[in-house]
Amino acid sequence: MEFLLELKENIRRIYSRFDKIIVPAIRFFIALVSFLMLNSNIGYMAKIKSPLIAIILSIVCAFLPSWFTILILTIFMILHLYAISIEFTIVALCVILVMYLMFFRFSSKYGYLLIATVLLCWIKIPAAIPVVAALGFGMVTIVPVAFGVVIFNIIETASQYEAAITNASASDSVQQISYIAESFMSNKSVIVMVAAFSVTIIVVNCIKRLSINNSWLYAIIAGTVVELLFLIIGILAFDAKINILVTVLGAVLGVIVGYICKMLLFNVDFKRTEFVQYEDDEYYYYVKAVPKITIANTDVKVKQINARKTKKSSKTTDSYSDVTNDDDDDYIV
Amino acid sequence: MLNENKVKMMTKMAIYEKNEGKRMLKMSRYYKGDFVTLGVLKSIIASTFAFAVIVIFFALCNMEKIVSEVNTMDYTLIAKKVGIYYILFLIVFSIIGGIVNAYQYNKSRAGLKKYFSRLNKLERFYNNQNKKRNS
Repeated sequence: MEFLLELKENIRRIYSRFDKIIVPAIRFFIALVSFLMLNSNIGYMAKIKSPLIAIILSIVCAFLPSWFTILILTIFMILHLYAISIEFTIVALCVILVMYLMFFRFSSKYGYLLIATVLLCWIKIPAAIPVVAALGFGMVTIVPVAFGVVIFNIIETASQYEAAITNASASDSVQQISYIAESFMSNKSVIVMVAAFSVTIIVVNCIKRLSINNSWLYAIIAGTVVELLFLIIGILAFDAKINILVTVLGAVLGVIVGYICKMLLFNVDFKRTEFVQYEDDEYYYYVKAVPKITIANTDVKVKQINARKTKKSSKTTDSYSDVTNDDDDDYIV
Repeated sequence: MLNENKVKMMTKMAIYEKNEGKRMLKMSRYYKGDFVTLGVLKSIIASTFAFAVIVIFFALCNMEKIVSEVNTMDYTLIAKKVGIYYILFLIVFSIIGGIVNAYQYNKSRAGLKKYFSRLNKLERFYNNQNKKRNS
């Protein structure tokens, strides 16, 4: 436990010092993996399949907000789908447009969660995401997680499309659209996964808000149990094509990652170095505000105060006494 | 002369304005009721587009059936059905839009409160300075 707390402090210190490098690097890495995943699964358009294009786009995405990355990835995906067939593009566009208009505009800042869901679906352990998402970001994560599962379904269907369409002998466009829509709707595993993940996120959220000790630990355990139950019932009842062993593995991974994230990343005040400009009547200010590093004090002295002594003025001394009024000492200006 | 406290305060306010405050200060221009209504209005527009896409998608999927029954279809009944679905769709998503906007508005209050209290402090600081200069 002490080790984790020290690690947490170190992560915070490193982040506040090198955030200008760390954040774009993580964004670049996520975008690059996503582009490569799209290329390997549905890389039908030869012109944009080159890794060089993926790298250039990832560099652009590294310096822009998450919604831009989502937009570029969507366009990239649509272009690849266009190379497969125009019908598939129409269906995918309809699904994406409806999902964006109805849901995603409420939670567009969780774009990276959507990408993470798609990537975890790709490596077959999506069961790890809902607990972590709910623990860190709340109820609203139902939308990006569900959206991620649906997007991966589109990618997966597209990767098997050519063989499937030949087998179904759907020749004209209308038949093809009906066939694609049918294969989307009939995929029970997507419905089971979206339902299970949504319920898990709700359960984790409700339990972590309870005013009991270690509520988040109970939330992780309860969420994982509910998730596994739902997935197994779904697999048995709807004959969904989900591998039980991999699901259990994913859920266990979710517990571990959830615990580690809770200890190390969530509820930590990640202050960044800020550059701000403003002016008053006399000056222009170009300020660089660097967050102060507070090292966990191990030698805090606790002074006990007796009831009798309180009649006289008594003082407690602790290391935080100088940061009492307002939080004006968070930054070095 | 530079005043250290004033610079600290203004820096904090500038950081807030640059980050989460950007959106919240926009929200603060509205009354809660107006902001929620605006959210509902946006939801209605978005839902209308989404519903149109769904109808087109549904029509494309059932094109064969539609073409074969084009002369025998009861268009009034279909229009009635579509109308009812549209209204239900609008109601559901307007409620969701309203709830989300109300929640966002309430959430923005805490940050804004701190921001405005700093603004008041800054104003008091300027008033004191003016008084000193005049006297």
